[in-house]
Amino acid sequence: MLSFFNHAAVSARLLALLQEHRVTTWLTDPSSPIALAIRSDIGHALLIIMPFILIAWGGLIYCIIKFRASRGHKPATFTHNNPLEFAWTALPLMAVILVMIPAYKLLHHMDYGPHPDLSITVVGHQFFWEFKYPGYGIDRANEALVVPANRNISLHITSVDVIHGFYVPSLGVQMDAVPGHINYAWFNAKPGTYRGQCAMLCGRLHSKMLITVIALPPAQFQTWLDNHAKSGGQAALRRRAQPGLASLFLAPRSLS
Amino acid sequence: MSTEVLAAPAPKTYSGLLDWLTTTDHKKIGLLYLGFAFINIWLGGALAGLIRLNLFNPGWHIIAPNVYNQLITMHATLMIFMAVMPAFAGMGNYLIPLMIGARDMAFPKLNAFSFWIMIPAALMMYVSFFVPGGASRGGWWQYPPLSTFQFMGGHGEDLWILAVILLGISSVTGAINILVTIFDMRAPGMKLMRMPLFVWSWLVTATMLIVALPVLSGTMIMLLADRLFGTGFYRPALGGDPLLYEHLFWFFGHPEVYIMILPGFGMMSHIVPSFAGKKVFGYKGMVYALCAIGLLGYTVWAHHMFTSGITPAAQIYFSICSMLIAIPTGVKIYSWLASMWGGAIRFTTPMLFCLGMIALFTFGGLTGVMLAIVPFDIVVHNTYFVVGHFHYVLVGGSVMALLGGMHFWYPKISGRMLSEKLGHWTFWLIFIGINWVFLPMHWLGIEGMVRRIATYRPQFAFWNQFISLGFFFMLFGGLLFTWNVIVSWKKGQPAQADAWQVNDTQQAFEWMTSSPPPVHNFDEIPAMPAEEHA
Repeated sequence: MLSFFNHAAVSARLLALLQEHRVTTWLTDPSSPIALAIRSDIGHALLIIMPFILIAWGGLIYCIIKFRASRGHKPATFTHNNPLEFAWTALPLMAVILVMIPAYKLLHHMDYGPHPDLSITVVGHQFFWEFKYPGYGIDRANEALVVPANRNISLHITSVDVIHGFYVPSLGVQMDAVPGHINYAWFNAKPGTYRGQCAMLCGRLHSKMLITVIALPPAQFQTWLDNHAKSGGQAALRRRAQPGLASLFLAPRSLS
Repeated sequence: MSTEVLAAPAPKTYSGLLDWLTTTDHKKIGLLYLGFAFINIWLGGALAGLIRLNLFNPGWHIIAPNVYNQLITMHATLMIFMAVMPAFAGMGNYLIPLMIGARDMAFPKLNAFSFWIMIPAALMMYVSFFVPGGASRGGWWQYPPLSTFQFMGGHGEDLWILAVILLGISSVTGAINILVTIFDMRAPGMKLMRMPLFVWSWLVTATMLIVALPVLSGTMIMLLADRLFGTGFYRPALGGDPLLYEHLFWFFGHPEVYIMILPGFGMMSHIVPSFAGKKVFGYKGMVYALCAIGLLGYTVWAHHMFTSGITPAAQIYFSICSMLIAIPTGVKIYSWLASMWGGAIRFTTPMLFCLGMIALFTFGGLTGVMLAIVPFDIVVHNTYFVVGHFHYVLVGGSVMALLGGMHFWYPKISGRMLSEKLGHWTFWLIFIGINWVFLPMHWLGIEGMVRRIATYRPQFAFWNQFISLGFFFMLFGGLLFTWNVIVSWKKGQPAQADAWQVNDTQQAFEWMTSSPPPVHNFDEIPAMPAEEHA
């Protein structure tokens, strides 16, 4: 077993490493409007849910302290309390409704993204990601996903072999790459570099299937594009009307 | 003419090993299940130890990635199918006939079959480690196409599938036996709504098993066919769909986790009131809650699939149903607290485990409700947040309840009390260990560490190392418990019929017969106490 001092030495080096590789999370550094919205949504949800949890823990601690046999009191004999039982059924039900309403709105926004400024096809392979930029003739495999910052990027995600998971937490993006399906996700990233990795067990090198997203300020991105594109112009996108409730039953995609 | 009544030939009695091999006595079969579960929880725990060892160092030097994938697959498989489920089945087998005043299960020979069919299944699982390619390595969900032959060669996977099919047969036959026993063999006067809550929990669990396991078997048979017989149920190139598999698997998979907790809830409803010196609070509400959880458990499966491309309508539906399950679950937790309220709590080992279970399971319930919120799930799905969540409900919930139950009914089974001192130490080691190991996982998930990776990016190192050290608390707790069980069997304080002196309030049949019970359970079937009109 590792001696405690060895462990301390390892920790000191780890601390240095940690400072270098400081984790950016959707919680601490939300880097897209969706990531920010997710943090806000779960925060509000917790405000509603936590009282029920604290009452349970509080009740437990109170019972442990107050109702010990050693205090010598005769145990009570009640086995019912209709108002209480009604309350602890009805109040959680109301809480569920209160939590669902804002969550639904955000879910809808995540599933149906705005008009994309750039569409990218993401293809999962064992064990790397391939990114195609239709209309620009760009096809990059096992390299970073380079996108313009502060622009709506829509992703069309699939796989050529097994199920993979495209996951970049600080951008609030996760969508499975399923062979035989094209799944949709979108994001709008602040300038920066974001790391993620394959989130679905896909075989031997699953641990190594990393993702890097580089969001360049638009001018820099244009330069990058000029250096890498093989044909000019982006294919024109059809405009769609804002769908109604029935659209919930349609596959997620960009709207308008 | 003389009327000779031909006596039935005296049943052959065996002794020693042959007795154990041929017994149809529910009490012995219950102990066989418990012994089986005990072996496999240690094997599953050893795999967990290897996992935590490998994750201590973010390099691959210790365990090769293909082997690591076998470890995580088999750790889950052993714990779910060969530890937790058989442990609850063993307790159910032992206790249900006693609790309802019966002398055995409805079908004693089927009962023996349900146990013994698990042995070839277990052997297949163990042997699979040694075939070319090693044991199954697709994760316990075995999603195709990864689990198809093209991507997962060797026959470890096929052995796994066959073993799971046999285990399913064990569960379904066991469940049928339990249901018929409960419906047909209750003592006179024991209406369904006067049945002990542990029996109720098994009524619902057995029903769930009968609906869910055949779906698993069908799903697995199709996977086996895709692997070995060239079919394309799940293979896009042949017109099939991996998402079909996901829906089918989780239709079984989600009820499965309720199957793994409901008997634990049942045990809690016996132990908590017993050591509070009161009757359980809200018996009817507890029954309705069990039924609601059993029913709702079938409506939530695709909350495991929020990122697989299902429509927003599906996401909303599954999200709402998943949150609704928190309501009957909350009813149970609050009812246990109300059972203690105003009581005179004795802090025996079983009670400590129940108190710990309430604390830990509530936390697991909190993270579960968070996961039901789709936007949140999107950023933590398939990360260590989920691993933390389900270990809190499975280890902090099911295992804690099981340990409480085993300490509670050990005197009944063995005729001797366990050591309270060792029991208290066991509790604290395991309680601290669970929090040490599984709490930091939630933060790792929020940081973006995904599941089922053999190595990780350097920023995840600190908490992984912290977690790996916590393993030792659980190990020592397990060792202490094992020692306690073994030593107390011969040297523990002799136990009375009402070993814990709880029957003034509980009036439970199992505490009305000797510890251990005679082979025929009761000299006289107990009479139901007079009904109280509230």
